[in-house]
Amino acid sequence: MILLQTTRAIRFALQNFRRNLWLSIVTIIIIAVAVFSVSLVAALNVLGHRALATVEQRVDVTLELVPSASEADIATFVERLQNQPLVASVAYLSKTDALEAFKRNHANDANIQNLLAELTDNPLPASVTLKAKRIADYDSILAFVDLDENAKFVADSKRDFKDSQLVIEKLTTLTDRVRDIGFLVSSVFAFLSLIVVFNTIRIAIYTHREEIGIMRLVGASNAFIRSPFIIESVLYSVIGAGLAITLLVLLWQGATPTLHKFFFKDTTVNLGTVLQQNLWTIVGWQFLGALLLSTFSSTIATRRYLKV
Amino acid sequence: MITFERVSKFYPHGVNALKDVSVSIAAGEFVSIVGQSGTGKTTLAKLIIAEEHPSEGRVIIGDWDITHIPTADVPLLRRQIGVVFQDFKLLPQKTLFENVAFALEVSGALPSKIQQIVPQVLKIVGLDQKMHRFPREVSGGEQQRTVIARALVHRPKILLADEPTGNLDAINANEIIELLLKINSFGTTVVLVTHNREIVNSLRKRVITLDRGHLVSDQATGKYRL
Repeated sequence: MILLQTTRAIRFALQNFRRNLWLSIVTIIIIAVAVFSVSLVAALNVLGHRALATVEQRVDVTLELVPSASEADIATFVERLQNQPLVASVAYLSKTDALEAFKRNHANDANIQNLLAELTDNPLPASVTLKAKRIADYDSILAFVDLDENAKFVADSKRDFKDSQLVIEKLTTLTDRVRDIGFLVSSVFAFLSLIVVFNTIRIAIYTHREEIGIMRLVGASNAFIRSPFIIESVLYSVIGAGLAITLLVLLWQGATPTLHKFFFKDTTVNLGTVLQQNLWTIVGWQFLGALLLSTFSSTIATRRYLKV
Repeated sequence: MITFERVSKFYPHGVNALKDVSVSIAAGEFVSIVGQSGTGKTTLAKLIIAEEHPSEGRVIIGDWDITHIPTADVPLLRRQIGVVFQDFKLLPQKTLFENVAFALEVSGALPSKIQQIVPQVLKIVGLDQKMHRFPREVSGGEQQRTVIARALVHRPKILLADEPTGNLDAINANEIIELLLKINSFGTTVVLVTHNREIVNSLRKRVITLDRGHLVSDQATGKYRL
């Protein structure tokens, strides 16, 4: 019985959809734009956070150690650094390993290879490369390194995190601003969608006033009279969200090469994978959002205009 | 079958459609409710199908007090009362068969039941040969007969006809009345709301007369008196 009634309600809903075709199309477009704008903001947020994470991952500080430091001194120093709560990782590179790495990196350079062959001593220093848990922690960590008991082991340090810190601050500001503006734009479109769906259902009720009158007269249940209009709005949201998703996927695929070039060059970040990983979450939220929006709006419209 | 106990109906701005009306209609009766326009006939009809609720008094259908009937129960009531109006209320894009079937469809009837009942009721009203025509392809009388067929699909105990001949010529009007009498002969209570003097006088059935919201006469085999 429920299946039969649902099938009939869907048939009436499709009939409503066809009879006000242009209105239905406009409603779908508005929903699609609303859902797309929300998705775009979400996508930009994801991109922003990925970009931030990439920049943060690239930041580290290398401390060259004094040649006089013994293996025991170095082990103590490394242990002290590892025990620092703000330090994420510490990587020690011995003089020998540094030389081996240098040789590997210049294996095709004959001049350097000849020069290295003539050397009797290893000129490269041992070093420690450390990463902080957060970019803001580098100042504190380096203050710890500069303490007398630590500074005596350090010959020189490459402290180039300041530029990265600046980039990160700018990126954070930009991401926050995009999110705020996006939220505002999305809210406007969501509100517009509410109004448009409400109006479409109101017109559908007006168009079908004869059928509704007859349904009431012959004893159709209130739920049955209302359901085609709710189903109609669900149809709008499903098609609208579907359009928005298609548009988002196309835009993402089209923009991936450019985005990769500017933000993720020389990184392991794969934007295609990022989309694949998040697609079903995005699709789920889009459908749920559109569904809630249009069902809420059509329920209000049927309660207001459909006297049963 | 239908009982009005001291029923009054007031509308805003001091309009009193019905005043202290008490009347009882037994099962299987054929009753004409007559009166000039604006005397409360249609209000009385609307109270029977719970489209309106009384301001005072009680309305009882069978054993069911519908004075304060919950909205959710109204459809159940309306499936027990067939309703025919002056304006036919047929859907122009549906055939006669589809118009009648519509009443069953929206009430959740199975397709097999629809295929069985609709031709039967269309045969009762004499339209079994024209069931696949559209309303525009048949006469006014035939359209009204389709409406009566639609009202019969739930096998109602009461058939309420509010000015069913108002839009018809004399010949078609008589055909409709003959049909109502035929339905009454099957045991269905028929309530005919009309201001057509000739029809009421020719019926020689019970006549309830309303005047300015008051019940002024109730005759077992009456005539149109106003």
